[in-house]
Amino acid sequence: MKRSYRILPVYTGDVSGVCSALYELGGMVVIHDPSGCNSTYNTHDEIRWYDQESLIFISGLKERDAILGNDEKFIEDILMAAKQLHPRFITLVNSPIPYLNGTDFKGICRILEKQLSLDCTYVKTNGMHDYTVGASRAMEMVATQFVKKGNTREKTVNILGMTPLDYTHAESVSSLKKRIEAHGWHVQSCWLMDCSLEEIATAGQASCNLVISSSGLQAAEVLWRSCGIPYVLGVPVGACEDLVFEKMEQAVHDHENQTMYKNLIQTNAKTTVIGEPVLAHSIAMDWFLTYRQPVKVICTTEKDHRACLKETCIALDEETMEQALHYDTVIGDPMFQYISKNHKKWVKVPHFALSGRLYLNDMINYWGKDGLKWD
Amino acid sequence: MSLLGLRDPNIETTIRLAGFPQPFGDHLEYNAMVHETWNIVHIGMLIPQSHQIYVCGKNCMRGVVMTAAEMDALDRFHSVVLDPKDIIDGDLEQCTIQGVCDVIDKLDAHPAVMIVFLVCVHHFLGARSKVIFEQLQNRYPDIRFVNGWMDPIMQKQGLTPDQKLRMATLDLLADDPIEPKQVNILTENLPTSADCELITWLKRHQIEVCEPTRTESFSQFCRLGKGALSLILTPTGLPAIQKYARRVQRPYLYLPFVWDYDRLQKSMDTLCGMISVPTMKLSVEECENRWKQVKEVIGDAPIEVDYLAYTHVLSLTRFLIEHGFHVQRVYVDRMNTEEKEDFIWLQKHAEDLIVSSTVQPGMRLAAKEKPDVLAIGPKAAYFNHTKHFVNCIDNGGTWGVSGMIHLADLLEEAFINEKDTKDLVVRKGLGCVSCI
Repeated sequence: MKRSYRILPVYTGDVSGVCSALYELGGMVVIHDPSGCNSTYNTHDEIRWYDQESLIFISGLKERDAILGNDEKFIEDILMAAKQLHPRFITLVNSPIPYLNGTDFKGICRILEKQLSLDCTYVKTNGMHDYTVGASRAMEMVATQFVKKGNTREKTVNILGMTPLDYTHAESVSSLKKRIEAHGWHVQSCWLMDCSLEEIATAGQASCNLVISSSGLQAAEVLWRSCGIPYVLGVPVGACEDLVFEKMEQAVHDHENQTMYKNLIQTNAKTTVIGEPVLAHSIAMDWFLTYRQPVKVICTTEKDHRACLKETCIALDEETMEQALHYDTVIGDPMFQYISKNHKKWVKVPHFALSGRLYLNDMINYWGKDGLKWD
Repeated sequence: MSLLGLRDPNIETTIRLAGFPQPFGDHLEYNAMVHETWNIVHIGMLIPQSHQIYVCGKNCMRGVVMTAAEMDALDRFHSVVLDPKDIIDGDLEQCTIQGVCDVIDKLDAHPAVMIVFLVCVHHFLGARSKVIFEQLQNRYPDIRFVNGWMDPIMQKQGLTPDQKLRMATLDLLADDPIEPKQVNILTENLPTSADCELITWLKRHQIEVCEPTRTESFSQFCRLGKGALSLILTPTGLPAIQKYARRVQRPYLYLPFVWDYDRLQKSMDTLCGMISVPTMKLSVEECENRWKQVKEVIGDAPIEVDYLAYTHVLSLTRFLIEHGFHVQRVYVDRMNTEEKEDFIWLQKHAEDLIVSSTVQPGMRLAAKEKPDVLAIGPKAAYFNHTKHFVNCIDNGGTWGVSGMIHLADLLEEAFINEKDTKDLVVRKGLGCVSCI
């Protein structure tokens, strides 16, 4: 049965994905949920909670209010908190029970907007998807809601898809920015870490978007359609670094979206990379360029399969992952070792959205001095 | 700010103005980065040789599965992940049964006990838990199934998920022939301290004191069914023990850890009477002397106390104030209804004592560096960013005068030495294995 898990944890959920994406923008995120979502998020899915303030709350939904459809309380509580804390915008997020009873989030947003004169948006979630779905929709909302069109500035790039769920090392943002600048590009905005709402507003002026995780792909599509900014899919890791910047030049020149790892060969591979698709393909490409050996990619997140190649294996449950994991060398989160029996070598690439705080001290800065090591 | 230095009436008030038992309204909720309380995963793991299966969506699953992962117990934790189709078009009962069966069939061996946790959507879709558990029990007669709930939507109007779990856990105990010399301490998370007078006195009179927390196999756990008397020290387990006592027709005794010598002595006298042993005089003088020593060390250092550390936080606060300590704040969102008398006393004798919420939205911005504050409890430590704190949850396995003396020791130690607050308070389930 596809939905039963003997031992593997599930990925961070969609609700946490939204919260993680919007954490630093100064808005207020309200999860319509009885309890648990906020605690799960800040305990297991968020590394910034202790040191960096962000207005993320739950509604504390009660059975009686859910059954009777008492949205008034939800609205009143949000109004009260907003008047007290002065957020820059409000985002509402759903969970299983309001999803089940069909709460009219869009209607609630309209009421709140009218009363507060603030942007108020519903990001569609239901607590039953993984973080890539939530983060992707949150970034799509940001692209739709906050980016203004502007004159294109040459050699400027928006980094799309940066959250601690995929890039957990504390120096990830600064290191990547340095690499980009070393290649003669200027970072217009970084979605969505170390970035203000004002910087987001200018993202429409960038000449290129660099999508470094599937959470950023939907926003890239929006910006492609609304501002005509082409995007490159791929992470400048190791041996791929130059290739990424070549693709960025090409994307701007041809005004066409590019996939950095499209020439990756996966057939007859003895090595596999397992995890989120954009980073997994990029790491695979790094290995492929380094060793000239094929590498199989196993994509284990719900979004975004448009980032996958034809040969990529998509495995979204423990059973399928277990069947797919039969390689000599595996590159991926250590927790996958529970379901891989025959590997000879494991290259540990801890993924916070899977193993949470268990390997927090081993997180990799892909652009740091040490970077990703094969041995 | 008001004249008393109060920041915002939504997040704090004085005891004089506070409502009882709920000083603040139910609004949006903030969750502080303090996670030392036990959740249903930790509590379920107390049954030796048990496994747990949760049937829920990914977002709800994440918190519990990572709890198990952080306590290095993933081999006893399994998941059945619901997707929207199961909720909208599916048969949730059958989906639950199939998922649980599938997990069990994948295991190398059947566990002695399987706790299956149903969730809020099972309530809302009217899934019949009785049918689910009857079918599971019929299919696997060698496994004892326990119906757990992870249904926080019900908790503000009824029992919390952990109270329901404690209740279901006691259902595992049979109505065995009574062993007159066996007394159980039930529903506690931590084993009772070996130097606690309850333990030492009963042992001295050849009474065996048994606790689930000290059992290592399910068969040992089942031997608790022979207990002649059940004791309970913390109030969250009361509904469970009342149900159990009704079922097996045996007495129970609630011995709350209040900070009042007379009430503790009465509790001790009642216990001794029930099991026909001579009564014990509590070591009040020793306790008083110890607290006097601590007062000399601590002086007038500001103290802040939270509701997580001790179950009777108002009683504790009163005790500290009566002994001359400078308690300036209590963190509590809902007061224990057993503490009305202490609340009234504090209103009269410490009317400017500040009562702070921990969950109101404004508390998100309230944590401030106040390194001089001496905190009792992890939330009090967190909101002050102080390194001087007593790291204790739910009485920490202590009780009575020995527990009072224990806190005196801890408080003195906390005053003198620093702790790594940021590292400690974020860990889940104080007293459990923590792999982070």
